[in-house]
Amino acid sequence: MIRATVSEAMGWCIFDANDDGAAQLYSAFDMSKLDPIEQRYNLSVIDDWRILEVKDAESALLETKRLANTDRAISLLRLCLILKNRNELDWLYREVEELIVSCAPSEELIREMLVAPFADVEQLRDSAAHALSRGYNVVGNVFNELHGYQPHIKRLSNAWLRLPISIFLSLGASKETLWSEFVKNGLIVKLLNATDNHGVKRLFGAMAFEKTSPQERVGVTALGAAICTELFGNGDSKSVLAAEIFNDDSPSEEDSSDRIQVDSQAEFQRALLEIEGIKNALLRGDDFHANKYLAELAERQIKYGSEFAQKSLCNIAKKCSEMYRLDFELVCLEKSYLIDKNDPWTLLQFADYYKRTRLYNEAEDMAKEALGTPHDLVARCLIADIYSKKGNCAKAIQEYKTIPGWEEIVIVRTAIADNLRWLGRYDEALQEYDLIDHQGFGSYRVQAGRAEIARRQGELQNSLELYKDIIGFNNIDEHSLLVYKTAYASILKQVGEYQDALIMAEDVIEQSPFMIGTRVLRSSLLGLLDEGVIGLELLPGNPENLGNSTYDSWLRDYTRGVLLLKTNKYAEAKESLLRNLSASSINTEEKEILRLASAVSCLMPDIDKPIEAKDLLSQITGPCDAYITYLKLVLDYHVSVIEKDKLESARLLSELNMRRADNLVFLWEAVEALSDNRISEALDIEVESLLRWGAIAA
Amino acid sequence: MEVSDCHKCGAPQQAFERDCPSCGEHLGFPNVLLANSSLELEALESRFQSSLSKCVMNRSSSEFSTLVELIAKTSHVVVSVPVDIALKIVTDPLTLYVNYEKLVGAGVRSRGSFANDSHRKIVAGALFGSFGDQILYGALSLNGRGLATYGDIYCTLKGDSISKRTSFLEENSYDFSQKYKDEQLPNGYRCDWGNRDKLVAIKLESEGLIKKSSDPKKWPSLVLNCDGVDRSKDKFVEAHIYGSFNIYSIDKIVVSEFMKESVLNKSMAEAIVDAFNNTAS
Repeated sequence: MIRATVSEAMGWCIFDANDDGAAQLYSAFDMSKLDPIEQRYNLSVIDDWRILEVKDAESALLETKRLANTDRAISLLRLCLILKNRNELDWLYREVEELIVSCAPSEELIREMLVAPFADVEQLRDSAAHALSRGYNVVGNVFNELHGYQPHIKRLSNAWLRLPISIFLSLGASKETLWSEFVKNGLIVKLLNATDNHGVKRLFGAMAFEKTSPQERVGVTALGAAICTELFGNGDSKSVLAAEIFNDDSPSEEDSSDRIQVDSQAEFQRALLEIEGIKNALLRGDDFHANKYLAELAERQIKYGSEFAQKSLCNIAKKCSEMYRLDFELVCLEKSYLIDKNDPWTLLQFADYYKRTRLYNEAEDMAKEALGTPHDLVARCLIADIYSKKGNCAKAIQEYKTIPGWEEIVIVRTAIADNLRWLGRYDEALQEYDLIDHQGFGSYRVQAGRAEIARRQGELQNSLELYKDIIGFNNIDEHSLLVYKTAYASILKQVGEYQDALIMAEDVIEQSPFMIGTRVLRSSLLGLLDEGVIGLELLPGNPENLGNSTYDSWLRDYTRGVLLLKTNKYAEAKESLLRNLSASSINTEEKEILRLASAVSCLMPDIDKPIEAKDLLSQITGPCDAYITYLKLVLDYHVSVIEKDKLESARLLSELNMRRADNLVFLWEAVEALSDNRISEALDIEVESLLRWGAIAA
Repeated sequence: MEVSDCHKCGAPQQAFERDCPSCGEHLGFPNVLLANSSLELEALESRFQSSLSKCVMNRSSSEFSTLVELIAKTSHVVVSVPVDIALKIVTDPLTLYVNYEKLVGAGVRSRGSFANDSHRKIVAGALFGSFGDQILYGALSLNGRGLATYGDIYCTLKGDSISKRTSFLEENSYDFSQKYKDEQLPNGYRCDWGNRDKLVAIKLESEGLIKKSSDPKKWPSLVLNCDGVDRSKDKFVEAHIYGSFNIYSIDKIVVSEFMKESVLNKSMAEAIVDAFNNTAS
């Protein structure tokens, strides 16, 4: 490796002094050697120089050339904005486009140009329009993107400027230096794309994870938290702030007479674009504009008939659910419901929303209103699924079987098989999956059912193999793929492959930052990797836009409780776990997992309430997976050891020994520790086993 | 060369420093302090009187006086820059421009490897000692033209921005230091902003360029002569500006008359001038 000092602005590269004491100065553009004395007349941009460590001189020169071309492209783009006479800019656009296509990717240019808000935002829009009108789409799009980012960079930079200096002390860099560093490494763009405070915290959390010293980690985490507070405040301040930012940035209204003349096909196309626009605004965290566009779209479409507007609203609601933006989904559904309370699609989507937020009674009522409509089949399936979610799988199967011709409907049969699985009737479920397969209707869903049965039966390697197959399926949709990747990572965790699991989880989060389950999984993995504090930091909060009873929120609370145990905050952990036990929205199995964790919290040194633990454990009666069943036995044994109940201890030890399996070696170590009266060591293993539990099931 | 004690705290100074290492008082720009040392000033005055006497003898004292007046009133410093740097200057107004060696001071490179560069020592070390990397180079001009051999865009710096931190040397510093490389550099060949008229008059007189009935229109090309090709033939008074500058230090931007003709070059140069005028206005 060699070291070279390079200037982006000049395209110069200096190699360290050679034997005769002379530094070697080269121009990367033509690879020519320059005379340092003659070049003393030349200017250099302050702070422009950086050190490169590359394998040889040629690589250094090539990299310098690339950097210099990027720098030049940025200068040329800025020149486009400065020049008032735009009539003769074709040569300039051409020059920039050539640079972008050949060596300066537009993402890099945008990243570098987002160093601060532009003073004249309108100029960006005008320049974009001009470049596009001249046929220079690449340049036009760069300006368009920059224009789109302006309100956000303005908001972010203002927030940054408001941060107290004290936050930067532990980071050893000034506000300005750190900002420049974040521009260069692309963090600013990522922050601008972060959709909510969790997105921002996740970015800083990931950065903290890369830091080696605890001080820096704490500093980075604190910086992330401070930025979140500045950006999002608490709840309502977000929209107030957004309104402040955007009040001078409203898109022009079209003349209403024009709208009426648009034919329905054009309107349909336009609506699709607008729906995409609303989705993108939400992805950017730009709720203000998303709301505005939504209102405009609904208002305009009403003129073509309510069904148009409702379809669009349901369409947007669906996209919101995919993005886990439940708050905005509710806004869309309420709007649609107000337009027509009998629209079956609205009813079904609303019911589905209630189901996902665990408001099962409301979901059932809403779904039942759609019975007898042309969407009766969907309504029945939904009602059955609601029964499943309520934990009443037998009733769900019954409901499915009321569907006329259910034996011929693969999706219904698969759902029945899934319910058999949830009931613990694994053989029947597997038979049904096999039958579906043999009849040629097999899908990745069937395979996932088998993988889950394997997991619950403790055949973790088999389960991993099955999930691996699913991930390799060609026809799997994007969302399902992410769900199965998460399930795969969850089992990797259970078998102790924490690092691989973390990589997989990060990959999923990167693609879908709103997947709470995956983020919870990541936190538990961090806990297992002895990064419990960071795990807690990165744990999704309970913001207003997620409600308090989504699918995975109990899991988040469970993981939080166990991470608190891991970080020795026993009282807080116990309180958190027990509080969730009383929640009505969680089903029996989930309650039993929480009881296990709560029992462990009762056994902790500062709490020391084995009787409470015993009581909690005695309430666990339902069918659980092999891992949880064994863990319960370990905890029963733990209590008997503390209570010095030798008879019970002997009985449990015998049962534990009998049920020992290869994948439960980890838990057996706790048993051995308890037998030797190494209680503290056993507790550590028990807490770790709670974190290891592969809770994310497909 | 004598170095004055700090005028505020009286601490003796080891070298020409911008700020007193003892009390932090601003002592002046080292290159200007150097040019204004008593030995330099005395030698400059002596050379000036000698040149004036020769012109009186040659009956060209009137031309001599006209030249001195012209230089004092209208001369300025021009920095020639390549198109890419000019582009950067006009498109990134907040950026500061420095001597490229200043990066040593910024800690980007290890001081050892670059500061010991034997070539670099020839010029900066001989003329400025430790602060050589703080010096920006330019040329004195009467008409906004600069040294095309160093760049196609001439940037005329505002007198107000640089007068207190600029000194001048009678010729190219490399030639000067080569000429005296084995001996002590002579005094009287450099000056501060206020004495640049004297330095130019001395130089032109010593080269026999001040004659009876000399055409004042030719003064600009006598003060700065460059063919745009061969640097060794450049004739000029070298300006040394301490520190950095940015677009707001620039008064005017002019495209070199020697710029290679091509549509792109021409368009780019025009665009840079337009952009400068837009930004400056």
